[in-house]
Amino acid sequence: MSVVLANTYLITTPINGVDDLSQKLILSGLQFEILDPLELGEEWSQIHTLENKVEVNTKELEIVDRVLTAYQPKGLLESFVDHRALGSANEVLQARDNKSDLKTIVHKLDQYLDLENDENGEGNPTKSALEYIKSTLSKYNINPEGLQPKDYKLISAYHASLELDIKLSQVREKIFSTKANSNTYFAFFSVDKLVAKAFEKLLLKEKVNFEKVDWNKEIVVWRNKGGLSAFQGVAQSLGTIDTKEVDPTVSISVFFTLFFAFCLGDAIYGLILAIFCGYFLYFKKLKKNYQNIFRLFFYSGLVTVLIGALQNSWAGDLLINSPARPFVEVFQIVDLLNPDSPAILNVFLKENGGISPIVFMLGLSAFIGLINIFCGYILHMVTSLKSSDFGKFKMELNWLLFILAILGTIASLSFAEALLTPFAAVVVITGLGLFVLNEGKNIVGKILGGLGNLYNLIGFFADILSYTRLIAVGLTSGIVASVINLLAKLVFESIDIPVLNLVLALLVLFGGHVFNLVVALFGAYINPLRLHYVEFMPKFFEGRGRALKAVDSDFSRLNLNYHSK
Amino acid sequence: MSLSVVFALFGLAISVGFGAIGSALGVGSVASIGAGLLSKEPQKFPQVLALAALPSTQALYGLLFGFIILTRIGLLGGTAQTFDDATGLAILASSIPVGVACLISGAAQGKAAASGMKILAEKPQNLSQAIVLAALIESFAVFGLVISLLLIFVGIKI
Repeated sequence: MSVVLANTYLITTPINGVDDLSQKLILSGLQFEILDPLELGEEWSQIHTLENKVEVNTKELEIVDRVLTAYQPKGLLESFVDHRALGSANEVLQARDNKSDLKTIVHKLDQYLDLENDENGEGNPTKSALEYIKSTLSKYNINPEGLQPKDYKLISAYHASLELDIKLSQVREKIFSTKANSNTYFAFFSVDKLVAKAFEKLLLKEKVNFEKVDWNKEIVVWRNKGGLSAFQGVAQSLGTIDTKEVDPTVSISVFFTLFFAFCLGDAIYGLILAIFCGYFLYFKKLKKNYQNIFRLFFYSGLVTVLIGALQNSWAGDLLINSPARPFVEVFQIVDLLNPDSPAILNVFLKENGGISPIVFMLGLSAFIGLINIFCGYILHMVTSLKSSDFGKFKMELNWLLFILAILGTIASLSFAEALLTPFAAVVVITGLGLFVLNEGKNIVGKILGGLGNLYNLIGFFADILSYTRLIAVGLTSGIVASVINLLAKLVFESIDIPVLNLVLALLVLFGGHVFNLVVALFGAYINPLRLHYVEFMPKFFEGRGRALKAVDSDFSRLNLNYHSK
Repeated sequence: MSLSVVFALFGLAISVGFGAIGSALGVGSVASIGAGLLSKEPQKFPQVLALAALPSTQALYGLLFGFIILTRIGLLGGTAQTFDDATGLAILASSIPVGVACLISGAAQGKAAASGMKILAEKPQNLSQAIVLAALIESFAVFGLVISLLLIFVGIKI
């Protein structure tokens, strides 16, 4: 399973070893959390924590950041790319030793950039001042007009050393000593089991005493590999799983991509999205905080291509009105907007009672919702089995049978009346179960609990109806896309000047589709998220776990992990 | 132009107009609170924009339905259809669910998203919660749209 408990250690160290040890741990790249002893309870309030002596210079940090940003490639697309320099722990420590030199360099660079901006504006250009700064910087072999990669790296390392101070001060806040033994300092550390060996080895090498202890709470490391991590992120916004819960990541990965695909619902849009995200994921170094969302969009985009092709939506009807028509129509199963289309499902519906394809698809989306919600019930049953809560398990099983029997009764009314009696009997039995099995202590409690359970039935049908949004939202993007195509066509036909009409039509086409794609993307992201957070996940997910909040060994301007890999 | 077409155009006016009013009210209230937040933390512009854009879908739903009416009665490309007054009135009626639902849900969603700015200001990592709370209200616009779509595609024969 992808949910494991973290190891917790109590470390004993003399006072003069504290900073050195913390620094080594942070720079080692091993993710660890330093735990707050106050979380342990009242009796620990007697301890005294280390006085915070690490000086944190946030203003300097801002200046360094500004300078580094100024020398980065610019543009919307570049803003997704990770421009951190690759460095090592040693370089950070060296930068810290060379603090004063680096400070001068950065401040001069900042002044230079400031003056240069002035010059480009309307202010009085101060050529001599610029020259002066240039000559000062030349002492350090730095040309402010274009920063060499090695200098960029040096300044990044300086930035990292300033960030290291912040991390150190965070660590120091939680190191403590007791009255009885005021020269020895203690700290609780928690690390991922994967790196526990390496962590212990490091402590042994530093000759630090440590022992494995039980922390009062279970600290959880929740990890899914590769593409699944993006879907774990969806669940994680609701809370962290604990070891007794079932990891919903796999089911989220199936449903989220499917819902997204229905909401976007267009093959070309899906293709554009997948290519855009795939390019950044596989050919560029993507920033860490964008990785999950790009992965999410990449996989969802791929599924959208499939769903869009099945629905015969290619940038609306763009390809259907083009010579590519025979190729794209191979894939179509249903055409929502054109009931007379030769698509398989349309023909079938026409021959069997003439239901409109839109109505059929609305029904289908409700059915997908039914599967999604049943999946939620089953996950809840597994969770209650895992935590040996058999009462809840019975309750949920009873509820599932109740719902199934009600649906069976409704279905048998119109299709097979012979099955009506058995289904109705199950409804009655499980309906009684709703009253008997609930947690109420006495008769009044049981009755009230049962009525509450019955009331949930309304919630159940409201949940199912909510899934019809999949088709409604998908239809919106498709129809607006077709309208854009139509407008472009009208522009092309109504202007008589040969080349101009083509240019204007292409402009309408391009601008319109970009606009529609952005708006549709928004809806296609929000709506599946809502279905997960409101309809699906509350059925089983409680998120009571306590996640490992690791001290980040990652610096915002310098990438150390590159070397530790 | 016959009276039936005028009825249908009233339907168009209701769906597009009401949808746009709802979105305007909604986006307006989010944006005005967002501007206050941006004065202190301009780097949060993308997140503020995402929240402010939430209530804009109502206008889109209204617009979508307007286009559907236009294509159904053949005023946007194709040949103009002829239909009786009752059908025109039916088209007018079919636009009321989406129009009214979008008008009110847009304004309400704006309120919810505006309050979400507080989450963004203090706990930006919980932005998704603010978005989900506001997205709850989206459902009601979608319900209106679903019924209107059913009416115009299935209920009304031209």
